[in-house]
Amino acid sequence: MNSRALLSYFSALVRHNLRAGLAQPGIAATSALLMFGNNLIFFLVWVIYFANFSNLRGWGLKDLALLIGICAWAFGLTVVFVGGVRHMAHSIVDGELDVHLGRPRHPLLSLLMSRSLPSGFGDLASAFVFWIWLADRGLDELPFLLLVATAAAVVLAATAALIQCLVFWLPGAVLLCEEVFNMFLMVGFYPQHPFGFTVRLVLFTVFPTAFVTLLPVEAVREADPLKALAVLGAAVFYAGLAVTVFNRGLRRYASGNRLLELR
Amino acid sequence: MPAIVVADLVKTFRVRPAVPGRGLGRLRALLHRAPAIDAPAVRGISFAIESGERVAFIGPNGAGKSTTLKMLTGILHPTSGQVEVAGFVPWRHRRQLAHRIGIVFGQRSQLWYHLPVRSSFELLGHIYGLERARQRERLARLARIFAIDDLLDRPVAQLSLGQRLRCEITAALLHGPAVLLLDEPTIGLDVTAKAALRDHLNALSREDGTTVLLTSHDTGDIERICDRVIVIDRGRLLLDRPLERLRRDFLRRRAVVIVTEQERPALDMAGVAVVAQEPYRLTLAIDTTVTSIDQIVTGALARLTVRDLVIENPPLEEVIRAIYRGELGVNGEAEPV
Repeated sequence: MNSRALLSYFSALVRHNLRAGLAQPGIAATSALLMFGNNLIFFLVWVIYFANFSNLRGWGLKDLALLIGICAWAFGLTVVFVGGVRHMAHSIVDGELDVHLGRPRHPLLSLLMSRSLPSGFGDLASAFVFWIWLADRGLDELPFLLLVATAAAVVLAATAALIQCLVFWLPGAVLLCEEVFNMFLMVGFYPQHPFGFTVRLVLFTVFPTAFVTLLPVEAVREADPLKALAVLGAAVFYAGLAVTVFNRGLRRYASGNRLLELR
Repeated sequence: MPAIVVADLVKTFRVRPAVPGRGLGRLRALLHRAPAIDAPAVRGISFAIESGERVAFIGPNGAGKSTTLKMLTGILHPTSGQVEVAGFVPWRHRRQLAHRIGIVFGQRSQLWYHLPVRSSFELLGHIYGLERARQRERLARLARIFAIDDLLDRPVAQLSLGQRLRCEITAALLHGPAVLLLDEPTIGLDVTAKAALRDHLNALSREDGTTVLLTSHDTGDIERICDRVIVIDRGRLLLDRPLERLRRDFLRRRAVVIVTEQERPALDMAGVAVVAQEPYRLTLAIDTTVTSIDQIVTGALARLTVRDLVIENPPLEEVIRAIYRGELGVNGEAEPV
């Protein structure tokens, strides 16, 4: 397959996924608005905190706004463009992969892009409010911010896929996968810089939220291209790892067979 | 040249038995997991299907039909055995094979629920890398065969199940596959929608010579679409023969209806049971192992003034039930029932 055909396939997938997500504009707009409000309310907790304490181990309210903006952007981008990852474990156990495997394409991309959650538009919109208004970042920083936050989105989506791939080996663990992903997201929304070496080691390896928020925030705060490069490298690494683990899992795929659920 | 060749195909799942008990007992069982056991789903089946054949692949629940079908498409890897579909080994050449086969899972959809049907077809064009002109031409033809012209601009969410299935089959055929695999294509459809779908599939098969392999629990699908039946049960092939031969070989009971000049007709012969005796009409059940149909016709003509005589085949349902009941001879060969 040539790269032009691949690009045309990819853009068709993006187009159809977005159109399906926005097929009911009223519901889409409401859920985006609710998510936008949800993020602002979450930020209020930090406003209250910093009304009582001057800083959090060197971080102020603006740093928290930057962090929440990056996390909201990463999550928004993930659920808008690869929303299938949110319920991937369920799709695998339910045998939904059959349809994707019957096509002449890699099933992971079409599975991930089989859903788009319009609430993610609320996350994306709120990210700009956090960055420009609450974190007080200049417009000239926006390209760098978008690059780092988008790389963080790739890490988030890839880690979500990795977590959900667990059901290939533990088919009964659908809910566990979703809970682990929620936990991952929750950790991402909180500052991680106060943690010591052991926790940081975990956050930079098996549970890589540090690449989703901690390192991107530091890269922007310190305008450090090396840290930005590390986030980009992590995006490539975790995306590759997700594809590899998914391919391994496919060998165990039993097509929603009830027998597998007994494993 | 065969479109599908299957030789000694085996699929065994490794499963862990469900944890029995409740509360603490269940927790203890989780800590000391039961050893995994083999659960054979397909146990060495072999068959070949020629290009253009329409074959029903049937069996009771858990017989291994869907598992076999999924191995033919490359979705599942077999434990052992050989398969070639359209010249490809499915699990090694899944992507190449996908261009040559169309798959319809009655309970899964490849259409986007909230988008117009046409949008899903458009995306499938990109997935299969079809040229626009070729896709337009193909869609126009399939839309005529499956009568979906007026459905193309409606969202899938607004279609009835029958309409949706016609669109699903069109989606599976858009890239011009040589082999069409259908898993329970008429499940959940009403009588009219089933009949329409069967007619459309027959029209397609006539026009394109597409090889069709379908699994179904509905004997109507088999009778009206297929000309050959493969029966499996508990992962083993029970029989494989043309539909007509299946009827002929397996049916020892035939229904014969005789319309006579006599007001109260009667025919007393060995192997003949009277099902209904009405004025000028006699319905009989014939055990053909005792008395042949020839003898019945000769006897009726000798003893009655016959105005009309109809020999009816029992429904296929009865044949299949008999096969499932295990009324079979050795080596998987069936004996007349």
